[in-house]
Amino acid sequence: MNASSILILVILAALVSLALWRVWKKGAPCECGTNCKACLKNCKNHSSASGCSCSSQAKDSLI
Amino acid sequence: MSIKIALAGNPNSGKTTLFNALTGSDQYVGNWPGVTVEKKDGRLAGHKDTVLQDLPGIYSLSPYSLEEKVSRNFLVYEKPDAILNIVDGTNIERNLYLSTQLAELGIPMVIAVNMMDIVDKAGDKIDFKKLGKALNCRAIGISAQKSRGCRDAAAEALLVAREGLKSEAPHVFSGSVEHALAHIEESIQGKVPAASIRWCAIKIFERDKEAIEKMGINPKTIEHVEGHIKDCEKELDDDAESIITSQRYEFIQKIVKDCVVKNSKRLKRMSISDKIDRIVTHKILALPIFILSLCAMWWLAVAENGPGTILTDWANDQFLGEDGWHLPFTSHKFKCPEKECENCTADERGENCTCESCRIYTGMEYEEAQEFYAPHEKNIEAWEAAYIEAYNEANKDKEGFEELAEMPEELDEALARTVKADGVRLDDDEETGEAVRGKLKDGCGPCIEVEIAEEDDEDAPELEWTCDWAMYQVSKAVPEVDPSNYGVFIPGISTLLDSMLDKAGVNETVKSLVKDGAWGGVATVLGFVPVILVVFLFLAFLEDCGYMARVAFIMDRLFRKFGLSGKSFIPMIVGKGCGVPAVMAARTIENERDHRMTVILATFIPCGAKTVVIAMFASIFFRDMWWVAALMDIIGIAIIVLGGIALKKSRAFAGEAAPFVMELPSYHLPTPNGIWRHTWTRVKGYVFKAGMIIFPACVFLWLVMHFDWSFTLLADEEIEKSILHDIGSWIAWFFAPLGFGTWQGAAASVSAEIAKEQATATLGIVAQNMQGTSTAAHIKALFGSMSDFPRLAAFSFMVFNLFIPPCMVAIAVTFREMGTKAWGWFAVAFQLFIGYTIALSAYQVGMLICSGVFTFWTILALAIDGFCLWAIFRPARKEIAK
Repeated sequence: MNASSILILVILAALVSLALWRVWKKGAPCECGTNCKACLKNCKNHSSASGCSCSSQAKDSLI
Repeated sequence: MSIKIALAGNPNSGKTTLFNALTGSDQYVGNWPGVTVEKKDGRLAGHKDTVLQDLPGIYSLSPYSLEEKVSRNFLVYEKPDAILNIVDGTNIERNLYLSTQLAELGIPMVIAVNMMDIVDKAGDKIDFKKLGKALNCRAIGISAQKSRGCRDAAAEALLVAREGLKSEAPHVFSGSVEHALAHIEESIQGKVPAASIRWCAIKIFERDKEAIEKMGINPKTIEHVEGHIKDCEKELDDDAESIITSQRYEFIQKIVKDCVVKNSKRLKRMSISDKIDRIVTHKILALPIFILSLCAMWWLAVAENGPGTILTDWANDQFLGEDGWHLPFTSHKFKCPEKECENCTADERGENCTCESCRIYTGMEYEEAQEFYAPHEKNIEAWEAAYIEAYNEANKDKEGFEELAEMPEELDEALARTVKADGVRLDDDEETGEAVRGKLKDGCGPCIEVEIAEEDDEDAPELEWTCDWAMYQVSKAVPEVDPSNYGVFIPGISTLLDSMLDKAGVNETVKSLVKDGAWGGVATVLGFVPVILVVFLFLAFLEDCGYMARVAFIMDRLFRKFGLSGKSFIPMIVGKGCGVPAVMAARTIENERDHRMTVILATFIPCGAKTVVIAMFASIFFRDMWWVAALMDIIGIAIIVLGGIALKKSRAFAGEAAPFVMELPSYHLPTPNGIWRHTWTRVKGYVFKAGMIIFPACVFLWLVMHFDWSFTLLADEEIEKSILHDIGSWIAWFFAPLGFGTWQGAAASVSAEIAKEQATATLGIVAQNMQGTSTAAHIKALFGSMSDFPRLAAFSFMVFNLFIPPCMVAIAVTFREMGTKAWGWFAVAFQLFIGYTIALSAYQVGMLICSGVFTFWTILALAIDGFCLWAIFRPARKEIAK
């Protein structure tokens, strides 16, 4: 394997690591405008009667 | 220290529009610790030290709902420096209720009466001076949508915040109530902040337990003032809370009478909103109109000549693929590339040029040239294929024979002269993927004429076309159309990537990993951004104009007939964007049984990610049947209604439907900016997801597809030894009755649980060794290899992936929302049962109808369908009905 192939592999590995790290830290970006981790965090922290950032945002835009 | 100005007002009063107008792009969405509903923060443009805080829309500060609690606690305990109260000028009576409460908080306040453009158009007049005087604060008329007066309102709020101009609470209540309040204020003096003493006194009068608890007032003090409250209640013959409410409204009526002059002519007429509602919420027309609007959306997104398809084709083939594109709004006429040609110079290049390209293509646009060359290209391809076949046939018995795969540089002229293209693969049938004999279109240039024999015509000549060696040479002499000779040409990203990797001298395996694995998968997903864009633009328009709120109202009418509540449909509308907030939005349903049922059913509406799956299959297999895409939404709604009916008849979900009260906003003509903002938020999330989730997943899939269990790199033809092939094969049996029981189908279905659009990316990767020159052709060929009925198998694959449990994140949220693991598993099992049943029925019954194939699986599909019908139509047991 030549040097340029190794370089490309290293860049690819770095990009994959960066993406996974970002998902680990903040959660997957989502079509609702926030990210999954924000939803899960809210969901975990609040009582069953409460809403979440995503749902309230979506509802706000709806009604 | 920064100045904090809170934007408070009723829902749909235009707070967010004002917030965006004042903050521009400098805003972020964030969750504050300890609070439950989102607030938005943004810096006031031109004032770096001023932060605008957009609170959730609320009707009052009385604790009836979560949002009201959160906003109240924020305003009372976090104390912004000023409140900018947004009042909907078209509905001023209802909006001023909150204003009277905000004025009692002792926080500097400015009232911004919004939607003045509509008020003016209606011919109504509002006296802001009188209004401000009545509420002891400044009132300004604005139109956030037209950006009129927004800066003045912000400047006024900034002024009162800087100078701390606290407004005196307006005199809202009657003498006896004021008397009781005065006693309460006296009792709590020094125990609560002086600025908000009036508000605290009213809360004690209303016996608001939560507010009293937060104030930390001694119970003895409360007992002491209770006598005054009871006296007041006795005198006015009502309970304390109702007294406060009714007297507020009396006060508001007085203000409106003094400050607002309504156009008498308009009052007699029906508003435009009412007129539209008479049609779109009509008891018979409402549902067909809703279905028509869904169909219109999908037509725009996936119909063969619709904008979505045109853009998707461009994105897939030209922008992301290998074709490339010409810069728009520039000339695409032919320019001679032969710089050294003696007649081909300067401005007259081409006119007298002797080169072949100039002779043929001078004066042609790119599309014309392509059209001209197409039959020659087909002629060459067909003839070469015929040559290869004839060569292999003629030489197969010779010693040391090696099968010819590509055209040799030196032709066997003797063989070449005898070659006829009869019977070779000329083109693929669009529906079946099978080779069609002699299918060449009209206008085939100088050489080709197809003569197709009727099957039952015995005298007709054998299928043959007259393409011989001489004609092949004629076509070969025609120069290929080089797009770079037709204006500024930008190669597709795949081509650029390819040439970049070639130039870098990267070895073939790494090149395949980057191009086919990482980029191939991501490009498959990104290629459908135009469809997502069209769908979300359409939905944003429906939401912004106020129609989606009507849909919930329409569905409530339908749902109620079956014992369900329209409240359950709100999460389902939210779910068109993403399943996760849809599941969470179900929290607003207080009844635990209905809440659980809504969580189970909410994700059956195809979300944004599932839209990509629909778009892909619609563009590859159902190009001439755009309604198949709309059908997916209709099936989703049908599952919700029918699944709801079936669940409601069970003991665990039985019960009366919760009442559903919802304000229908007036219709607005949405602004392009508002629609784009809504759409862009969603599309941005989708594109980022392709980078964060799909990209690493595709790299992983490529690796497991190109390595065996001993981690040895495999060649393309050895894929059957790969890890992915083995894992896929182990579970493929589960999908066999659905028509896609191969390792590729299994891998795509299972990987879709990461994110639904991963199914499309995985198909793009696992099908890359199939026949064809594009991803679409590969996938078509893949389904052709899976089943004798590729379209049915594709339909089955699509419905299975749309209606089985959603992605992992949504499943995790479902588990959490269902309360217990047992309920979580029930939800997942129910969704899997529904998805599998629909796919099984579609494939097996489809085969039965198409070709009379009747197997054990057909019986099973019909039996499960029968069971489902029984569960829907069985009479509810009496005790359950009660």
